[in-house]
Amino acid sequence: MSTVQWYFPDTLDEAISYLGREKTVPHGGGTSLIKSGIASLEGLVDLSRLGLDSLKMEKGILEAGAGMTFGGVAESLANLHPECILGKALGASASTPMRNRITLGGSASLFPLWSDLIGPMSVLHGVICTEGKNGGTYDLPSWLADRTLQKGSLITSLLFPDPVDWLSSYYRETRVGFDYPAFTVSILARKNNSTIDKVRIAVSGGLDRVRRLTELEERLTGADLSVLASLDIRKMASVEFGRKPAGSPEYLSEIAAVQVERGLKAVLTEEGKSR
Amino acid sequence: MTDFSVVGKPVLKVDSLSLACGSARYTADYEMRDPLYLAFAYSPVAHGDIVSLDDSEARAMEGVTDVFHAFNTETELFTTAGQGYPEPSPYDTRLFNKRVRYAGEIVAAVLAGTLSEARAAAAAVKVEYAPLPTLFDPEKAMDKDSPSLHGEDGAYAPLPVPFRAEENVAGEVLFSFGDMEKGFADADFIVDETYRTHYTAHCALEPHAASAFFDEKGRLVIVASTQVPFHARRTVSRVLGIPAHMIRVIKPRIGGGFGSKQEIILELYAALAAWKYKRNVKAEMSRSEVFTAARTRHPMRVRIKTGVKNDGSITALDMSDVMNTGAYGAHALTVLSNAGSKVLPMFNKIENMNFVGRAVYTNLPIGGAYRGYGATQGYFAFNQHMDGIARRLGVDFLDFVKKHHIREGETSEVFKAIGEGTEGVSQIIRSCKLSECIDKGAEAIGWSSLRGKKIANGPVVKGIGAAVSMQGSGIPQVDMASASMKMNADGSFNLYVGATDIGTGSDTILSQIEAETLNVPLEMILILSSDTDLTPFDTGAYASSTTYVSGQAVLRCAEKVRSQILSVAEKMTGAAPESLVFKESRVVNTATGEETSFSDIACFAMYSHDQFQIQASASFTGSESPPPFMAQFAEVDVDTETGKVRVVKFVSVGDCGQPLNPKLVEGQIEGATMNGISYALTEQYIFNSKGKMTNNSFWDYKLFGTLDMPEMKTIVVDSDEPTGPYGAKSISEIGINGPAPAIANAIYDAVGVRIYDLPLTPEKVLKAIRARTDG
Amino acid sequence: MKGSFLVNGRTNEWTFEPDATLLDVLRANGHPEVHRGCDEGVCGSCSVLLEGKLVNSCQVFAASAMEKDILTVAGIGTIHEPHPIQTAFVESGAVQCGFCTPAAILATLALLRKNPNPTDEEIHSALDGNYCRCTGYVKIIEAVRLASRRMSSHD
Repeated sequence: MSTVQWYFPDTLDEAISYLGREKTVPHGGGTSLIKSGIASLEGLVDLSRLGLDSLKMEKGILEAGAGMTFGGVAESLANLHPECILGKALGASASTPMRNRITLGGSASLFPLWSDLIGPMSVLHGVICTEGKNGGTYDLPSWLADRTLQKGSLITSLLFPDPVDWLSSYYRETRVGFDYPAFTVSILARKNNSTIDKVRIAVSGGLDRVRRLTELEERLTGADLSVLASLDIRKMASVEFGRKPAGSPEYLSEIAAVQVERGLKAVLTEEGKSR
Repeated sequence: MTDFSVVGKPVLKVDSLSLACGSARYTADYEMRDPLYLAFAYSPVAHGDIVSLDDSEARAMEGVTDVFHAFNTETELFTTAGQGYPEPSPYDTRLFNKRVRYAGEIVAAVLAGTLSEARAAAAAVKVEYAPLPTLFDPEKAMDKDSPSLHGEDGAYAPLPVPFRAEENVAGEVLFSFGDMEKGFADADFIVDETYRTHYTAHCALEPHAASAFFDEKGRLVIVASTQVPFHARRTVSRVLGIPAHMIRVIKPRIGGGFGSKQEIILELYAALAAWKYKRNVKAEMSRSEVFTAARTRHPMRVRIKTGVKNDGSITALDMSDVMNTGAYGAHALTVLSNAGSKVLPMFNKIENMNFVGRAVYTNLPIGGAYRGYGATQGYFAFNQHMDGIARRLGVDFLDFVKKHHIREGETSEVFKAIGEGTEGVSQIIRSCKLSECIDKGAEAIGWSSLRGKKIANGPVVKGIGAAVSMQGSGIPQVDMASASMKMNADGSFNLYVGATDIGTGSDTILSQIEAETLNVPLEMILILSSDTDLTPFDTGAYASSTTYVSGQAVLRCAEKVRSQILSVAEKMTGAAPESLVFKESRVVNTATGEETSFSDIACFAMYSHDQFQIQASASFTGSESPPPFMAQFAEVDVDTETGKVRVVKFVSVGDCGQPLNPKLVEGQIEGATMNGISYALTEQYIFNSKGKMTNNSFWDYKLFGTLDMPEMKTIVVDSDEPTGPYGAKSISEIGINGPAPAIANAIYDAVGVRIYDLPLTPEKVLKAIRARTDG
Repeated sequence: MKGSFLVNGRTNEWTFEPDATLLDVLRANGHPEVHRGCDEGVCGSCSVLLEGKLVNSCQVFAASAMEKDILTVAGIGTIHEPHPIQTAFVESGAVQCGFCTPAAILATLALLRKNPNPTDEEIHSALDGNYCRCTGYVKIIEAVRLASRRMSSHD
């Protein structure tokens, strides 16, 4: 017999007051709560009436409400900014019916190992906005570093300061089409003729959860495209993995590097794009 | 080909609209008043004796009615395999064993007022185990120092078949003909290879379920997701001591079987609890329980050694199989038999042949019936082995197969040598269009333009591979089916069959056979299937038997009804029998043109003269088992940097005799093929070092979905099986045999590496590519 | 707890446990056409439309579906008056065991409402969360194409 108490607040303040109670957590779409079980919880705060489900672009900044589903974000972006890596990533995540329930807020509160949000968050320099006890804005590293930030707080939206006009590539390593990824590779780049202006590369799913390949980024930034041929990208893209059902640590590490190289070439060169 | 009116037409599956509208009912959908629920406790250890079991905490929990386990519920030894009686599977298990033999074995069943109460109490059952040495490697099962799983518990085989518990041998099949020594001595070269197949699950989307309740006379009614309702009644009666006449088993709609429900599991526990408390009881497995508490495909090690002459003739073939039956021997002997009997007749010109097969126990999940039933495992090895030999000879694989495969009018020694728990039955092949299948498939896949071309797009290389196979149509002289029918006053017919439609479409096929025989539209056949009270007996939905065996029973029954209709029409019209013909629900006197409707005939018989109801029954047992044949082709793209294999296109070409319903035939082939592709590439049980399955969920046991489909092409080749109902043979299983070897052969074609063990994971393929380039 | 559920156009007052899923509640209250295949959000047999969106009802807490519009396959057509998608599935041979069929039909409905003339790629993508073990999906895809043709020619 579950005794968990449901709350359906109409305002943020009300929601936050409930979240201050013992063993009480927010409910977005419910997918991760159902997976982990709610037997030990005492309260669930449903967010559906808070109006956190809008997506807007103002002054080049994309703000996506925490209540938006992956499917909703992917659909909106597919119409507005089809090349945006966030839409590509979330639109490929899980399955159609799951994407209609997984919310940005739920995903950002846990960033599970198989998250399709974490890679785009990392390369887009996404920011997590919260209200409540630890209300504020947090970048991904500081958010991941301190899980206690979530206590008594509510994620209200994710901000992406510079989300569009990138060359982008998103790769998810899966065994079949509908699978959680063993790793993901997110790449953003801007170039000016044959010069690489900016490049950001993130690999998720390894021992570090998400890792920016900063050394590789530094070598590429400002360089001529010809650098791609001279660098040992696979070596520089080496990321450590644990064992997963999809393969051994060595194998995953090796093919993640292959996908980084392919993604970079696809983004930066015509030859890579055609494949 | 004969001109049919109902047979051979893509008439709509008779139950499909009710399924599409959600009005059809599956086992778990049956509403019962105030049921109790069952939940199970499972062994966490792979091998051990239960030293003590403390159910006091569980019994004290809210809603708990009872806790059943080995210390309060003793039964005789039996097998859960739903087969003919006595079963060819060993009697080696009890409802609750005091010695557990794999991680995931049922150790207790909790009966409670709600499912969550039952589950909570099941988690509170405390069991103390004295661990025993474990055996996980089937190839070591017969070693002297390996633990014997069933040596001390009195396990036995109810039929006179090989069974040696002390050696962990659950079944053994041996046969030989010709002179092996001479055969190998005559060879110019010998190829000796070992292949291994893996543990996989059926993944029927409906999890196993059973509901037990009582009718107004106090008889026990079991509604169950079963492929074998009659075997289920027999086994429940035997194991629980409930008189069979007090049990009725009803099969509602079934959400897929593929062999998984040819097993009597939940029926037993539900009946046990219901009978004891005279209460309604529901039992339903969760998905994770289906993976480990239900059955699996038996993994197999297949060693093939073949002697070949440079002219391409084969001088000898020696096949040696070790099959892992897991903790208990369900279907052990018969799946093993089929790995030989369905595979070796394919190349029937080999004069010297030897087969040694052993099914052995291990402390891993229990094997069982699974679409393909041993042939799938055997053909994985056979087709790759022959592909390699053809390559070594420098001949095209398809030409090589065509030179060797069995043909119409021919036989094989193997048919006689291997049966299923008995000797085999010799037979002559009366229909075989395998060469046509090969030619049509080769054209559809583009064999001549793609084979051996290794077309590369960057690191991705294309390859083409093929595989052939045959299956059977029922177990000859074992499988038996019955049908009965009666004619109603409006000229419609009730058809009662024991045959069990588990989604295959057998209700439709059998209705078509009767409609064709009686010249009535399909909607005038009202079929009721699989209810042990209402329908006659049938062994069940397995061994690709329903179309051929049950179909013949329906055909024979319909012919009896037809002759009764004729004789009533004679009486009514005074016409000479030779001038009467059947035409669209009427009998026509060709001499006068006078027409008598079926309705008038039925009414005349029922109400007017020498009154009786036109009705009949018939049974049928096949004296042979004509095999369907299939050629399957894969086009794959192999990524040489990641080892990923993408099946781009897949072609299946089958000979199933006259297809009674072409759409259903295609559906069987397509479903089996996709299951086979998924089996080859992504499906697998992953065990930890203690023998526990670690991926018992759809999140980590990966099935193919719509995003993974290759371009699929299915071709049915016209053929006519003279012994089959309207020329039909089976089609349900065969399509699963070819995908794994065809894909493996295609990988070889692309990158020159042979993968000897399933599944063909990217990591394995990449490793093989590396080993080849490094070596 | 108690709540009101709007299923197939009818409002129902149901009592349920606070941790019950929408699937639990629908099945317990006369909607066995919603099937339980895995209870883990993968097989899709339990799919329903919630506010017009395809969801796995096993992954939705019933409490969160109160007062919302829920559609099951029984709500789009009946055996006496089937919906064109239902007849398309039947005629294409897309129904074998039928366990996945109600969900696949709802996935098709969700797709065609949004996109009446989908490409094959869009069909495959819209049904990516609906497992079928019987058909190999071939005839399901054909059924969606047929339904799309029929429904757009009726518009």
